[in-house]
Amino acid sequence: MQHDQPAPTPRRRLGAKDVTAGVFLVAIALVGLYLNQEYEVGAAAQMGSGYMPMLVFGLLGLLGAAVAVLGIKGEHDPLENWAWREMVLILGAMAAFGVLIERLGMAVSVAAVVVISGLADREQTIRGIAGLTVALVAICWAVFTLGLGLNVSFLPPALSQF
Amino acid sequence: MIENLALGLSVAMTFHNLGFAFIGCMIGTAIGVLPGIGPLATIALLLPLTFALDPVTALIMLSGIYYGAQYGGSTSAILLNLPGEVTAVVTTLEGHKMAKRGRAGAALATAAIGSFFAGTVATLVVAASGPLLTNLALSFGPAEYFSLILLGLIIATVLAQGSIFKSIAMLVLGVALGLVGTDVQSGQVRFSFGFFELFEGIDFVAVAMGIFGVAEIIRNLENPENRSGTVSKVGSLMLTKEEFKRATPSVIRGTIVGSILGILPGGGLALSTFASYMLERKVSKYGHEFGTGAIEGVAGPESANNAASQTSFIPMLTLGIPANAVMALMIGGLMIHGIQPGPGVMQAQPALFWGLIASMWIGNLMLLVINLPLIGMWVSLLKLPYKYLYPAILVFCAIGVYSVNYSAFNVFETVLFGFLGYLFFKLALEPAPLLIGFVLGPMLEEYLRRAMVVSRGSAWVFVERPVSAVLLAIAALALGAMLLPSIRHKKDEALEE
Repeated sequence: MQHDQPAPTPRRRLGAKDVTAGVFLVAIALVGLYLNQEYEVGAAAQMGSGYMPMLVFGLLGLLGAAVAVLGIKGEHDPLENWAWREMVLILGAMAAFGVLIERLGMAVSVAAVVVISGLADREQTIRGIAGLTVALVAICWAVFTLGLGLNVSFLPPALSQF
Repeated sequence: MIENLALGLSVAMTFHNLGFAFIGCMIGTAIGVLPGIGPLATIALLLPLTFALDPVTALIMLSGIYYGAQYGGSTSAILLNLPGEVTAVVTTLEGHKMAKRGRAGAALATAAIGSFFAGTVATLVVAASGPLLTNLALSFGPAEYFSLILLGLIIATVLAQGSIFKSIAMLVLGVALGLVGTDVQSGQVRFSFGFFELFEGIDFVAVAMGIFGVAEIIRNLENPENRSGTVSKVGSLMLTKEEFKRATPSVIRGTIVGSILGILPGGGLALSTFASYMLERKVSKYGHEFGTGAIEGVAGPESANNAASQTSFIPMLTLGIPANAVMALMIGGLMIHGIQPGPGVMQAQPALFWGLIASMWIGNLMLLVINLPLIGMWVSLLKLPYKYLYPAILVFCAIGVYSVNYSAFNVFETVLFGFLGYLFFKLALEPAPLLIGFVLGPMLEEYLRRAMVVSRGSAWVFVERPVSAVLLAIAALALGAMLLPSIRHKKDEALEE
């Protein structure tokens, strides 16, 4: 996993998953504690807005460290490969919906989700994706626009002015 | 109590309300059977449907959706081996094995009949204990609430698989996510990174759909063999005499287990299904058949699940604490209709309170008399191949998340949590405790702060007050037991699929 933390020493028998998970949790705890400096901690009898975060992130850091330390001694458990292509396309499809929904309406956004996410599966054919797009746009119109009366423009808002 | 139930039934049994119960049940089941959409996502998706109705009718429709969604989840668990959420995991263990043996119909019928029986009993439990607990709840101070929630959180980790430190860490991470937003007491906005959309906190539906919906799709695409696209044949819905005989005691035991455990905040619902499964495996004469499709393993947990989902209304209605994520959504639905769940509801709005209780029972009845015969229709929904299904699920997730607040920001939050969900999976971090921590975290903080104000900063208050001390002792016991290697081993065995 080429992620935001340094990869643990490779080719050693250790619970790499646990070590990485522990490091990840400690990293979040440290960021949280750092950000929490902004907020007033207060006293136990009169807790400020920073008191609970201090406890929570402190505990998270300790637990993360425990997970990591136990991982070093733990069973051999190597990190797995990531399905980058699938992940990027699925998350990308979702993000595209967020970008488009208010600008171009439901029809275009739904079509974008189907086409982008459709690329994630290698079994999918162009005809399949096209058919699916038409079907889902129609279903969404029937269910959400007609049925539920969802307060979202179906066609691009710019078009409905005519 | 009979009077109260009669009042409730008179509210729920009008033609108008029955009609909406029917519609709710149908739509709830239709969306709930779609694999990858659990009850949580289903209810989130359909909540806006009820906004236009008057409160009682809306509640009745909502409970139709609730039970439909639950039942739909069981259907996809049995026929497709795809649990929509934690509570359906146990159903896949024996239910899907039964389906593989050609007894899917029997498993579905058992689930429905067991659920109806459990629902009926649990309705009576709620009706009888509601008033009692309301009085108890009025005597609860912040210290008791804090300890109760802490107990709920600890119980949530008991369910998780793998390292106990990892599950507690995930729980704490969930509580940390719950810190985001405006601090109720000081009015200060915390950890918002400058996004005004985060002033109200991280959106709950976005977290749930991202981690349990979107991340799941990526995982399924990564391992094509995991998406067991083959739908089992339903076969006859009729139980054989022997099956009926074997299932009956399990249904009764499951009902008792579920009714008791459902009251616990935190993980009562999921816990009850696991507990019932383990109990059945221990107690049943057919324990050796478990793992190959034993009907007890469907009847017990499904009844427990339904009894618990009924009694989990108790902490919500009497204490205002959601017992689980689905309840948190139901609270959201109630509040939109101007009902603030808590000790006051029963006295202030008896027609509503008892109407809700009666409508739960009607929801169960609908399931039995309408949904079961329509099983063929639900199966055809299941037969869609995954390559056509996942873009549809993603579209419904996107529209569902967006429509809760009409906020594109929520969609982006879902993207982030989809990524995190995938990361958690890759690092073998269990996500379920995170969601519970996220739901209960803000309340934990509120009661901690209130209790500490009252005690002037002395933490002894949690031990000095007897009810609170007992709750904490149970929590400590549960935690201690989990650290014992022998018990952990057994639990992991039971949770193994």
